[in-house]
Amino acid sequence: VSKYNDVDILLVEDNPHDVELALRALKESDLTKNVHVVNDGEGALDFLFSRGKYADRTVAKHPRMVFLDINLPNCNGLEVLKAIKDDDERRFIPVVILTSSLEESDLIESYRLGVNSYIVKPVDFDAFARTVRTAGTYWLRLNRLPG
Amino acid sequence: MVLIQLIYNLATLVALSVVSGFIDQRWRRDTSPGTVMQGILFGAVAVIGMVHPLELSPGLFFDGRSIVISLCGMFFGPLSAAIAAAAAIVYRIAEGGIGAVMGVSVIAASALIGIGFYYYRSKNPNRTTALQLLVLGLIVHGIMLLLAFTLPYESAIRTLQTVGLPVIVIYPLATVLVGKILLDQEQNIRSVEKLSESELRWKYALEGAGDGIWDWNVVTNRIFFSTQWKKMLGYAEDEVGDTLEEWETRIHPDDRIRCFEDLQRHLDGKTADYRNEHRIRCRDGSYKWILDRGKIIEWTADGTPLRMIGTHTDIDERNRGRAAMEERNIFIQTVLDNLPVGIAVNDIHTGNVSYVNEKFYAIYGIDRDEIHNVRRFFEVMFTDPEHRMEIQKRVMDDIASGDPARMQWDDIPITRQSGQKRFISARNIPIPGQGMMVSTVQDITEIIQNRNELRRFNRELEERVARRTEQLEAVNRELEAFAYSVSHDLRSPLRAIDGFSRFLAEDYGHALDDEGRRLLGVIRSNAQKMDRLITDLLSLSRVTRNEMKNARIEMEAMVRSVFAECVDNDARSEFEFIVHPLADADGDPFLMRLVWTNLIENAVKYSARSEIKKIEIGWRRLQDRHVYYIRDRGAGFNPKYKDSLFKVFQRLHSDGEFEGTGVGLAIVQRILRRHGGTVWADGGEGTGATFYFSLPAQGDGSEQI
Repeated sequence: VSKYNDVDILLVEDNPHDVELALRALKESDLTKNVHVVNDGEGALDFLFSRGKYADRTVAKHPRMVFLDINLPNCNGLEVLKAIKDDDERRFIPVVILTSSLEESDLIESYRLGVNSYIVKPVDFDAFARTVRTAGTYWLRLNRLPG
Repeated sequence: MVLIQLIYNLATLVALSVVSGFIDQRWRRDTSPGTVMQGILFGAVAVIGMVHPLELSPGLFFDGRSIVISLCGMFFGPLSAAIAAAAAIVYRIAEGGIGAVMGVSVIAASALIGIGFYYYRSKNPNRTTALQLLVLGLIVHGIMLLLAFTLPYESAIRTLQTVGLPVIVIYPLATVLVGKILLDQEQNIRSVEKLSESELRWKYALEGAGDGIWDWNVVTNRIFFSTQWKKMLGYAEDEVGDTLEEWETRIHPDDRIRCFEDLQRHLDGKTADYRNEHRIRCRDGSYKWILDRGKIIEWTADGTPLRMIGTHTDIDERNRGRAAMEERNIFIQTVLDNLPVGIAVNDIHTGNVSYVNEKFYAIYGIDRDEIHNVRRFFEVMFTDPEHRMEIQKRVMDDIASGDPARMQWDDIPITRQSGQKRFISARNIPIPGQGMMVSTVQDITEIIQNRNELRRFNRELEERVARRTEQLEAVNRELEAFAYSVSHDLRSPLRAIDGFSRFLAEDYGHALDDEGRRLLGVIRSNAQKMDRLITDLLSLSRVTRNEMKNARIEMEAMVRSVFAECVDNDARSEFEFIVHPLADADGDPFLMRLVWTNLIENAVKYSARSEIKKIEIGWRRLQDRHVYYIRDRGAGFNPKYKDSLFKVFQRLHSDGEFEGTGVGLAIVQRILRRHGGTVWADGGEGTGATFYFSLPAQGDGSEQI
């Protein structure tokens, strides 16, 4: 049984410092300990579709939510979003864009592709931690998904 | 003795005829004074004849009374005859004697027979002949002899025997002689009368036509000028003499020589008549055009001209009209020849060209002698017969259509004989009433060249604009990419600085003293400030980049909502916020909201430390603009620097006093500039600030305020 089967949150983020900040915010929130981090879009897709180094992952076990950055090396966040929302099985995974981008075009494109939330990362860590906590609480605790 | 007495009587008769003719010339016989005088004359002569009669025997006289009285009746009519007869009868009765009855009867009979002949003549106006006179004489004297039987029979017989033959032979002859004299006189007078009548008639005719008449005696150089002749020149009857100089000296100097030449030619017998047009000076000093015509009508025996008559016709008006028309023609000709348009006129039916101006030849590049007919013109211009036929047919069809648009041909290429190619614009205009066609042509080669050049230039310009636009768009895309990367890439390190500073404080805070913790705080606050700067800069660039979506904006509602949004409840209660009724505006609601947000936030921010917390918002109309204002009683600013207010990153207060990035008013200015408006400010240090911005007044609602 793959260690990746019980992942609650998939964090897709290339910047290691942002990863650390996010993880700390999640840790402080006490929501879950099962957070998996991938650093690029390819990695995210490999994970979600049980490919490559995640090939032994049980396909049916999806993470309960995805924090997705947009600016990623190789395959970017919007492409990952599209792949998730185009897939009949995975489109129910709540995807929260967590980005520095305030660009209207990114917002529009994300919603067009079916994003569940779009959050701009505040620079102030307190605000950042609060935001991540709120989003996690909402999607993991309050929101109900089919099945 | 009898012969002498006869001659005596005849002489009296001849004298009578002379005096009668004299009277007739002065007192015409068709007037009553004339006939009365003739009657008295003839009566007197009859009486004189009776005073010295041919006395055959005592109381028996024969004389010329029968001749005198009968001729008087025949030539002068009943009244003259009656007067003459009455005089003779009175004298004869006074004489008495046995022949009285016969004498009176003869007088009466002579008068009656003469009157009879008078009426016969007036009914038969043909020339009276000597034969008629002889018949008159025979009848009168035949009756006279018959009347002898009024005498006692023996006296009658004796009388007839003695005077019968001489009377019936001599008296009729005498009647013929005297009658003939009278007749000749009468005819003379009549022909003279006729002559003067005809002369009068042509004079009247000429004068009636308005012509003046002159009658020149070439030998004496006296000249008669008619009233009309003088009147034509403005003179009264007595103001012009009768010498040739009167005419000569009035001729215009420029016309004089030609006039005299014409006159001399006629006097020399070289011309059938004299005719000259010249100007002649009028009484008022002006000159008048005269047509002078004349002819010699009498010559002396050796052929020298004696008399010449002629007329003056006033042709001033005609000549002036002609001169005006000539002037006008020259004017039209000059205009036509100097137009940049070629003009040709031809007869529609024959094709004969009646007028062509210089420009026409110049445009087509053909010689003036080249075309006298439209057909020839087409032959010269269109050398290919098939093409020529086609063109001619088109011309005729277009004219026949009557459609003005079809008569105008534009951008027609032609080839001159020199081989030069030109473009023309031509128009054929028929003048149907006159059977003529006017063709106009313009050389539009330069226009077309310019037009093409302009088109090419425009095309180039458009291409250049398109290229530049593309470049600009590329630059814009780059800028956007840059802004994107700024928003993303600059934020991450900031977040790391802030976040890790906090981790440091949290995880190792116990190892730091107060100063160390303060320094960490400084690091964090600067990171956050830089974040705000980045955010503001991005929104500034968005303000100018994004497309505007215009709509009607209810300013007052917007102002109140912005105030409610950016000031929290506690602060709101501290403020006196006055909004006067505001005119609506046209603009992008999102951007306009940003304007009010910045201005209201500023007003609130800079009022924070002031005693009076009052914000007032209103508007004024200024010509075609709406000017909105927001006034506070806050910290204000040094008016010296008011122009710096709107520059990016320019601040008039330190961060220590009031926090800020110095971008907000720059955003306001850019938004208003995009709306065709402006922004400016008034204020003083510590007394507050007023910000004004103007927008073009548009729409209907605003007009009423």
